[in-house]
Amino acid sequence: MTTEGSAWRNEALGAVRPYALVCGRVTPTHELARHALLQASADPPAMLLQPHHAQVLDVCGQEGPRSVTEVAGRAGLPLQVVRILLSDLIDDGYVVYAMPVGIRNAECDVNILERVLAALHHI
Amino acid sequence: MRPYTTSDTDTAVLPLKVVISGGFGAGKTTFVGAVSEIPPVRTEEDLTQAGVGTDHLRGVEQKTATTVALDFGRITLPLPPIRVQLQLFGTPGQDRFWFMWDDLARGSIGAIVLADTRRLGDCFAAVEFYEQRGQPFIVAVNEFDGAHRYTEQQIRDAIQLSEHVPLISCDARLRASTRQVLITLVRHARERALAHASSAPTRESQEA
Repeated sequence: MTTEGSAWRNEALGAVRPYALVCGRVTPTHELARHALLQASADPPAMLLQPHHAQVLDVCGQEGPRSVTEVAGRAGLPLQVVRILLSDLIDDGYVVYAMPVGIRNAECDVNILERVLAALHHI
Repeated sequence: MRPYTTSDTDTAVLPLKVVISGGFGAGKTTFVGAVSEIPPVRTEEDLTQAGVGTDHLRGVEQKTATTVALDFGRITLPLPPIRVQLQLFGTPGQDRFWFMWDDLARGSIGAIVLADTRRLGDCFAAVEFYEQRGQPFIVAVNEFDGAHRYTEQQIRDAIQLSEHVPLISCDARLRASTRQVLITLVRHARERALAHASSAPTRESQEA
């Protein structure tokens, strides 16, 4: 006898499904903060990508660097899934970081804040 | 805390976060949309990824509670020889999303708490959070049509806002107005950074 709403029909599965795209992995190999900026490599390897990797790469590649958050939103995939896909793409050389090296704690750097302030007046 | 590497300094862009917080319907999405150079991008996050304990999930009956949506917008600013990408994160104001607030607040310039005078209580949680965190933040009252206008002091009293925290009114639909709010936040953050640089860290522990 089968009943609707039995243990077989697990509602919670709906939230888990995207992780099938990343073979059930939950931990990305790169930390990839929400704000981290990435872009498609100018010199990518010539290998065929899985559809979801290709989709994420496509979102990274168009114009200028994009944040991990923006990539996730544009790809229409949950953030953590995108982190895993992006990690794969970084490891394989399709995607690179696009942030200046050596700038730390910019958010409380008086000089940077001053310049941001001046620039904001011109937008 | 591995340093990021980049391939090309010419294209390097420095990300700087700004958090837009506030209660449901306070105008966060509208705000992000008005000032961002791109239409706001909506990102979904699983609650589970933040390591939410079982006791948090217990009693959460509706399925919608398993994900939380975030609005992302950005403004690119030239700061030769680099560029800055000011990233705007519109985040739900309910305190059950505290785990996300913490992550968003870390390394951010500060927060804009959007308040709606019809539901001032909705911004309590956010105000308290940023106050306790010692993070620069300002409160922007979104002047909805037809909403009662209060004086600045009335609003300060109502949300028990310290006089050190800037309070301004805005129209979240207008670019010029939202830009002014951003300017107010960055100016406040700069003043805080200046004060921090010139004084001993003992002032940090001062109780409000």
